[in-house]
Amino acid sequence: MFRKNLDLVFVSLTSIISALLGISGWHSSALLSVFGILLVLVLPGYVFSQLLQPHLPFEERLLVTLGLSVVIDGLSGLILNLTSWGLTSSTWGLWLATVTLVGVCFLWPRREESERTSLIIWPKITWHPVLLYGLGFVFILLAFGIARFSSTRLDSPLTMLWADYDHTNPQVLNFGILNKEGKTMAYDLVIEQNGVKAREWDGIQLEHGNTFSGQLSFQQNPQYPVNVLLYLPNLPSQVYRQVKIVFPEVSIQIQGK
Amino acid sequence: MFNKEFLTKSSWGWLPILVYTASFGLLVTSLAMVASIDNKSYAMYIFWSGILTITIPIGIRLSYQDIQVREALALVILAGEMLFLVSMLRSFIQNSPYDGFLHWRTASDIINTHHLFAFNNLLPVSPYYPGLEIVTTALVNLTGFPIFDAGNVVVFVARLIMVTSLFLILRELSGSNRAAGLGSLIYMGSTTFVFFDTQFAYESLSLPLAILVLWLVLKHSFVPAPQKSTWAILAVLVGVMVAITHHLMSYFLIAILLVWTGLAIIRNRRGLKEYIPIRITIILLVFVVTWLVFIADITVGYLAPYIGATLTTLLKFISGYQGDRAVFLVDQSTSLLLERLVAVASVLFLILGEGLGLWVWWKSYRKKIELQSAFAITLLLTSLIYPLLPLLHLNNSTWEVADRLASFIFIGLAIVIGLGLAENQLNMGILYVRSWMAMPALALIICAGIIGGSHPLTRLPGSYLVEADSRSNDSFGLSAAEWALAYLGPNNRMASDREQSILMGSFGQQSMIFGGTNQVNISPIFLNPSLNRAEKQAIKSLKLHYLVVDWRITQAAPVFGYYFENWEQQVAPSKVPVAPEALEKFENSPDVNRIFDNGYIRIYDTGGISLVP
Repeated sequence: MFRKNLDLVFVSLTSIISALLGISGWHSSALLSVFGILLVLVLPGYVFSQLLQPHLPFEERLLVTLGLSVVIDGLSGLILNLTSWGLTSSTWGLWLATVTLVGVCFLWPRREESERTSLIIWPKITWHPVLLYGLGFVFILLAFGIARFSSTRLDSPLTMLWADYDHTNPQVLNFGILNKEGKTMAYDLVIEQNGVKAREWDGIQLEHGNTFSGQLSFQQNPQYPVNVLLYLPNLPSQVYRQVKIVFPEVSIQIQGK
Repeated sequence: MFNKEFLTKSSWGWLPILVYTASFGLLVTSLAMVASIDNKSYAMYIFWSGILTITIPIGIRLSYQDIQVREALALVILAGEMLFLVSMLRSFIQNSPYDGFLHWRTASDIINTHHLFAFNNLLPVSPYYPGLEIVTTALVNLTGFPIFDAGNVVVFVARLIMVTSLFLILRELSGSNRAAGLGSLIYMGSTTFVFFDTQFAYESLSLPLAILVLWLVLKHSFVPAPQKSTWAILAVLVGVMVAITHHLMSYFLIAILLVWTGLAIIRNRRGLKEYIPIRITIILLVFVVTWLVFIADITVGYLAPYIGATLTTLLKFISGYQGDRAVFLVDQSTSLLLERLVAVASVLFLILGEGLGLWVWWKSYRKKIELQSAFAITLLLTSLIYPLLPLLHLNNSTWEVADRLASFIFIGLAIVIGLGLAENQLNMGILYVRSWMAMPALALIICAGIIGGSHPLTRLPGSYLVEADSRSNDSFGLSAAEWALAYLGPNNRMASDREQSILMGSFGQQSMIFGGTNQVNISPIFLNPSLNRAEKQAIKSLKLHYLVVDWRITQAAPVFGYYFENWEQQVAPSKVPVAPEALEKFENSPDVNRIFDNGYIRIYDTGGISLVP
């Protein structure tokens, strides 16, 4: 009996493990992700295709399994959307595992009454095809390896500069620099008001991926535009990045309150 | 080592060696992409040789008369999935194509809100057809994959469903593994097969499911009575999934089922005992209409302009209209003569192949009961629409509908031409054809499908281009979008050019206002030389808090024809770059703050105009 339902034992165990992984959110490795893929795209359809049509040739079983899994996912999404919990890792894991296990519960006794047809008759394995499949797999991995390497070559180095007045305290200027140049960079930062330097920082050293940020408080609401200018030390006459802020006349509004 | 005995006696036939050659072809296409990044002129030739290495050896094997069903199906799946991997490789190197970002936002909203139907400014109709996003987000939730990676897994499975269903339909009708295999390869010459139907978009799931419905209904037509109800339930369930996944595809499916039902009723009245799929058709029709009326009524407004334009264009062609774009090419200025020749030759071969197939059909009609069925005749009639497709491709407003229509028309072509090619030898007077002789034509048809479905400049990855889909989505645009989400928060009302809008609306989670989707006019704000009262009024009425400007639009004309919205030529011609003075106006306005600068992308805060009472 157990041997006859070996596939259902596998389905049940995989569903439970996938649901637990989904609920715990512990799916950091590719191997564990396989469980999630099986629970979403294979297991529910497999069980219900066996339930609806016990005798199918392999290609039709494959088709109905995948198609039904997608349908069960789609309809499940509509049902979960009606609940207050919605579509989360936990609800997906619990729901799909429950649906699959309910299917197994109906299928198991039915299998007792009839002979299960073999899923697929695997051909005798010889080394020639295995070698060719293996080489094919290596080519596919190489193709994606090349793609991964190539994608990094298209990343352009850049530096971001931003600034804005603080919306809760409009006399304060917030500003920041993010280095994404792919190397450590040195910057000179100048804040000007009406063409006059209000503050400057020389030789800011930033490693790739790091941010420099700060605040500058003005005595009163600046009446003129404030320019934040970023220079590279080796090109001191050329502005590398620039932002311009006109402060709102909120102080008057605040006084009015 | 791999002698004839190995090839013929191996239980999977040539499959192992063809897995090897097809994978090698994929490797060659990846090398072509590297060459394209390096701006090598020969990159495209390497790409084509990779595509032909994938498909042609498979085509040659499928043309063998003694091929077994298991091997033929495995080869068709191999070809279909390898062509999917070609598209995936391109996206892997240089982001998803345009549509992928539209659906990314819907999927992201489902993950963030845990519920369906959140408003998506990028494509408002998308949340109301959430089939693809439901499956994808289920996978994201249970695997931890990023959205695009999970989408690739779903589309890989969808592709498996599509080619397997197609093969089984063709085999059922033709009774020949060879006709089914070759017909499936012909289908891969459809303009949408390699790139369009492999992106993260609703068609990529709905089309495979629609073909699966056709196979399930076909299966329902001939299984014994006790099994009928099961197959009917399956067909209805999958049909329902099509209806909640994509509007147009569900309408095409219903149209085919209605024609099938109508033909079957007529044939029954003539005394032929014919299966009528009337119950399944009615149930699906009722569901599709119910979904449209009660859930997705927004679809009417979305599709009406496209459908109206298609009908108008057809009427105009009758009165001698020449079209406003080149067949198979998005932009005439970038056309390559050789590509155009291949495309035209492919149309001729397809029409010739259709003629040949119809002749074989006529010859075998009386001998083979399956070819007399209403479903077979429905597909035959569908294939006869094919000559209209190049005409619809001639118009800017109808080529998108033509592309979606092609996905179904090619099913008809696949069966008709597959039948013709499967004849071992056709002796029609002076024309003596063997199936292997059709391989060069098959190569042309598959290449032409790719040519018709992709722009020559965006087919392969490469350095930044202005307004050119995936080639415009570089690290400058992405970093600006990520900054906007991190520092400005989500859902600020913004406007930008076509490409930056999708990055800001997806990865930046902003509420993008743009002409194509929101039926508003934003191009004058950017293209007019000054920021006067009219422009300020537009900013105010659209409540635009931020404007995002990519200064590279001052360097080159847009590859896809426009920067902001396709009617912007009325403001400034899109065939020349935007004048820098037009963008400088934001720098000089006292009401506008430049709050972000990364070298090319600048974000302007226009709250001083839009938020002032």
